[in-house]
Amino acid sequence: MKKIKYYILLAILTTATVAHAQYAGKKYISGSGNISFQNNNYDHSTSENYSSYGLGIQIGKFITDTKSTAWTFNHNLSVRSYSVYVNAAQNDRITDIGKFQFAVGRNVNFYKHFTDKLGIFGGPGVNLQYTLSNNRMAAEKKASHYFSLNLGVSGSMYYRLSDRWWIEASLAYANPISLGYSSTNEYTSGRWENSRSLEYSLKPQLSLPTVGLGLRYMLK
Amino acid sequence: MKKKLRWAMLLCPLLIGTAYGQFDQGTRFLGATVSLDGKHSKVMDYNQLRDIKSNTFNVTPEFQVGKFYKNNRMMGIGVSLKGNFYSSYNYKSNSVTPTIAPFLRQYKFLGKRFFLYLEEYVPIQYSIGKQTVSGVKNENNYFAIGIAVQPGIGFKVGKNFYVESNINLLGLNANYKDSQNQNTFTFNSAISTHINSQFSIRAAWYLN
Repeated sequence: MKKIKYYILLAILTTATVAHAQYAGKKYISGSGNISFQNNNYDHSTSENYSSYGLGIQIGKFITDTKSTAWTFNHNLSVRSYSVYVNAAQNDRITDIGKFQFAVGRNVNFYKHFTDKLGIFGGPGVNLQYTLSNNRMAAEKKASHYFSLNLGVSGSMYYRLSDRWWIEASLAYANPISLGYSSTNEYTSGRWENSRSLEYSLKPQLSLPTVGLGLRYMLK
Repeated sequence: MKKKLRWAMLLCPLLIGTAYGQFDQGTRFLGATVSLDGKHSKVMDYNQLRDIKSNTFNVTPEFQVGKFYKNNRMMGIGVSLKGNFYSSYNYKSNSVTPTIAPFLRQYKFLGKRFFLYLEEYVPIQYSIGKQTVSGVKNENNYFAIGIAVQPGIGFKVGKNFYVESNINLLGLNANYKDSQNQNTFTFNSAISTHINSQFSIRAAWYLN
């Protein structure tokens, strides 16, 4: 009887790290998002309103138990309504888009399942991004369009709440290779100017982001 | 006897997880990293119909070679070259800074794949800088020498291949700079529980 205890304990210790659920062939949708509203009221001037939201969606498929590929979509928008000081006699009321961003990409993730519930995953990805941003100060206006192509790697952690639902937390990311093109129209000192620039960078740097949480839903 | 054997079997899987790696005496080390970025802009002025171009380019390649003279203790030398090039309508600035840094490193493994190291190094650099403002040339060269201590972390990826990064939890740095107009001496020391959020990563090979 005593012997059996040893063998049961031995079996637990040796198999605890290798028993996993089967993921190959399963599809999933994961998402993360944010939304914010801000309203400022002043005694002697008009109110200001700022609102923004962001949405990130991934649609992926497990190729094997430890590898998945996914399409990624990211969208951010901020709109605002505020007054700009032009001169002592005039304030302009402005309602415009502060930032509009859309990105589409493809990534590959490799998984290390520690237990049945907990693990890490990470891998390389590529994305194409468009950003429109507006700036307004006194009599100056600035609008810029920015296109960029990024090659990056990212690392995350997951926890399985149930068979269908996972919580994901981003741990680290790097954008070692990026290529960007921007076109900016600026109204300054009474005339319009257009500037175009090409940017590129190769930086093998890893960043620890503020941890972002997301949810994943496994499809049948 | 049988009982002892059974306990030994129980301990086996635990021991496998906590085996420590080590770099043996005679192992050779090769490290390399590069960072570069550039921006090329053209401003079109609608009123005066004139293009103003501006170009920026920065590049820093870095190489390190070393040899273990004791287990987990390495001596080596690092060479890096930093180049900054900027040009605009009536302003041009170029600088090239080569650095040679002999170093000593002590390693401490925290498992089979993960290690920490502490590096003491002596950076010796000479910078050559030239600026041109509206056709007037100006040179700015300097010589600097320092001594510094910096910890780092590393992780085994392949058979001989590792990735490494310096971290700024603790740093000690004394620096002497000799330029045409002034000489400066700086001393920095820092202990922090806050890890920097950006790690510059180096590819490293440890060859037996």
